Amino acid sequence: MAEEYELWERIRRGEAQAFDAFYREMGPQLLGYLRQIVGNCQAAEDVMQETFTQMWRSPNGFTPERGTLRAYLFGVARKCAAEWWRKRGSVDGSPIEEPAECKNEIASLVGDALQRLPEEQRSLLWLREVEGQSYAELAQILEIPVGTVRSRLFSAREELRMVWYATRPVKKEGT
Amino acid sequence: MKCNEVAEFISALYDGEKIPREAAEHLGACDECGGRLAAYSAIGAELRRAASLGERTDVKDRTWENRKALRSSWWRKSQESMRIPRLAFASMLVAIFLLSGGLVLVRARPNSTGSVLWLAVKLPPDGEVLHVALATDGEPGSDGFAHFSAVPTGGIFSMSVRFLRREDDRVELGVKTRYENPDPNFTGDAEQRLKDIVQQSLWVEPGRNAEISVPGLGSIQFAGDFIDHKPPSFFSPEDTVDPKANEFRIVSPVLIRGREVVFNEVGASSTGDTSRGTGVSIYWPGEGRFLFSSAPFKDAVEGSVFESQIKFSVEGQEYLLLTAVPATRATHVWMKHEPRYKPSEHNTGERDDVSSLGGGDRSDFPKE
Repeated sequence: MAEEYELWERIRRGEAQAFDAFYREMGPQLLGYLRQIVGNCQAAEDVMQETFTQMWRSPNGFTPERGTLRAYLFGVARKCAAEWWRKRGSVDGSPIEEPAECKNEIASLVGDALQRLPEEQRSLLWLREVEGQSYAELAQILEIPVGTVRSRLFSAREELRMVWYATRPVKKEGT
Repeated sequence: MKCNEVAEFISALYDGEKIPREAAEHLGACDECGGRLAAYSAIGAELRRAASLGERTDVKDRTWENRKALRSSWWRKSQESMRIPRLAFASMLVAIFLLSGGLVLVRARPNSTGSVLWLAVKLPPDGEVLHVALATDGEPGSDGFAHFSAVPTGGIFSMSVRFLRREDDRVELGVKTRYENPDPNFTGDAEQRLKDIVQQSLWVEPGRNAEISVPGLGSIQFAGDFIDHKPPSFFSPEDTVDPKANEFRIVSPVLIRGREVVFNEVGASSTGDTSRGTGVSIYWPGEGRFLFSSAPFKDAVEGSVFESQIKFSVEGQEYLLLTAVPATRATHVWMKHEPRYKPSEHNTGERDDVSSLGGGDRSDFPKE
């Protein structure tokens, strides 16, 4: 926590080197998350760049008392993704067609199942299951109470469980 | 409990949460609920596996341009990019950004064994004196400062000074100066303004004045003493905790809105003089521009001052501006917030992503 605060103080003072280290450490994780949210690797790259640019230009949005720097980053990213969806004219956050070179990166049955869920459920499950964000961090990112995080996570898991089992091919035994 | 009542607790249990005793008992005895827990676990593992397959370990190279200069490495930053709003130049006052040293509260004592050169630079045409502390124990170019001001008789004066080397009690400085009159089409880029200027060598030693001539302006006099530390503040030795009459100054400002820190400009300072119709402006990316004066001006709201704290309310929100020294002798201050202000829309070459703080004789600042 102290290290995170120190890092952020350096970023706030305008130290490009500190921000670059932050970008290199968090960028890959954020990109993975955004690929699930916008469903397109080029768009995810664009939104990630916009996210870091916003944080660099306006570093005062983060206050350590309100949560972690990581959660703040993902929260900003989610808003940037929402803006991307808005500009694109989509209201439901449904994924768009993925270029072939990107599909191979995330192709999996569970990935396909995840893409069938609404954006908020995709966000929740990815951040919890893959990024290991705590309930408090999820509450910060999604701007909802912790109790709501718990109930929405349950709903998202149930949704994904049903989609996954409905689409998963049955394995033949003994072959 | 029934399965549908326990289901949400299973999700919480899987996340590492404790669950009610009744839910735990049911889960231990129910195959369906046990299957749900196993499914959550399997799906979670599969998600992480898929994520691992697609995970990248790097991101594209990017350059994060330094947002603003820092006091500790002023020279280096100024070489990269330094931008100052035109407002600062319009002032008769000196708008110095983040000088590498100065003195407000404590007078530095000369000390021939000190490693810091306490430099006094007397500027034409009116003999205004700048005081700057330069470290002399580093590599060539490791410390320096830049100065820009509007000349009272017209034009813009730009100067950069950097430490080159020390020999016993002598210090060699590299000095670039430029005087432009009439006013150039200011772009706000320090590097560009002094880029083509040839650096002059200047030896400074205690007890002897050194001079550099600036064509069209006159001679600049340099005098120096050695001191044992870099003073931690920003103004000249003449400045005190007590502000001058009509003075309004902001040093290392921190602006708090409600409980949120809007900006923290450590190391930046500027001053205004209400008798000359000047105030202080602060631009912060994403927040727009804040204008301050200790006299009323158009569309400004009135705030209160107590020592180094200024309180005001605007747009339904409470603000607290903290400065490192008392800002003014006045008990009230006027402030205007322009949230949509963008420097690029007002001055050619200025950028919207760079913060700035400066004085100025804006037409909407009053003259007393």
